[in-house]
Amino acid sequence: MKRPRALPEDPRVSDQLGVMTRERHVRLLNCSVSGCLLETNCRLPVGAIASIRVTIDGRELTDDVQITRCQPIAGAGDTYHVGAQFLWTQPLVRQSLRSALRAARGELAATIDL
Amino acid sequence: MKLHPARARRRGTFLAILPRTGGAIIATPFRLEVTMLGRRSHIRISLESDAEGVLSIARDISVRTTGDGHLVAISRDAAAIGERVRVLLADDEVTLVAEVIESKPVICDGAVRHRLVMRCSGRDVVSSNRAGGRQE
Repeated sequence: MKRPRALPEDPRVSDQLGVMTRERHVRLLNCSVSGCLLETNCRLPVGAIASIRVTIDGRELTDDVQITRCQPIAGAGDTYHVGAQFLWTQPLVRQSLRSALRAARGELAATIDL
Repeated sequence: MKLHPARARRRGTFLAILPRTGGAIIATPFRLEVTMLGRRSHIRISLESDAEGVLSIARDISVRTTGDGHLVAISRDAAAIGERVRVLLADDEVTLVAEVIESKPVICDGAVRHRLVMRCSGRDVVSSNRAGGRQE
């Protein structure tokens, strides 16, 4: 049986590697030094790598995270709680969420000592 | 079930071991605790005011550009019609802002993938900060 011949490919058009970035609005519920808990209105793929950008007290903070869990909240409609773990892909800088968190932890420890 | 106070304080997941002995399954009286990464014991800081933000999720895709300003991509994930995404073309080192106009599943090398057709609606200035980018 003769196999149908494939259509000749247009040499002017070829596939290339790309990165598609999709943005999701989230609400930051809480944070620890290793990760944060987010609330969103859509399911996120576990294991996906993402970049989070939040504004706290007028400061824009960013960091790279990996989605570790995504749990629907029963009775809350399309609401999901998403656990994200910080990825140490970038050094601690002033604009990173991790450094802001460390500063907040320091203030908290000082308050407890007083 | 009443736990010993010392055990009740322990965190983690307990697994019962069920070894087979002589055809019968007997639960052993001891349990193993699966070691966690320890992140659950870290102090959590709750935010008094809501901190709104944006999560940018990146996925590798195979993409080709067509002459009429459309992008045809093969992705692992489906996309919603009308969704706006940013597409970084690795060869051209340019980031495009596009709107999904078609998404349908296809078979690629025996695996289910999604063919996305997108209409370009703008171009981003390439920036070292992946989270940011100005739209022209």
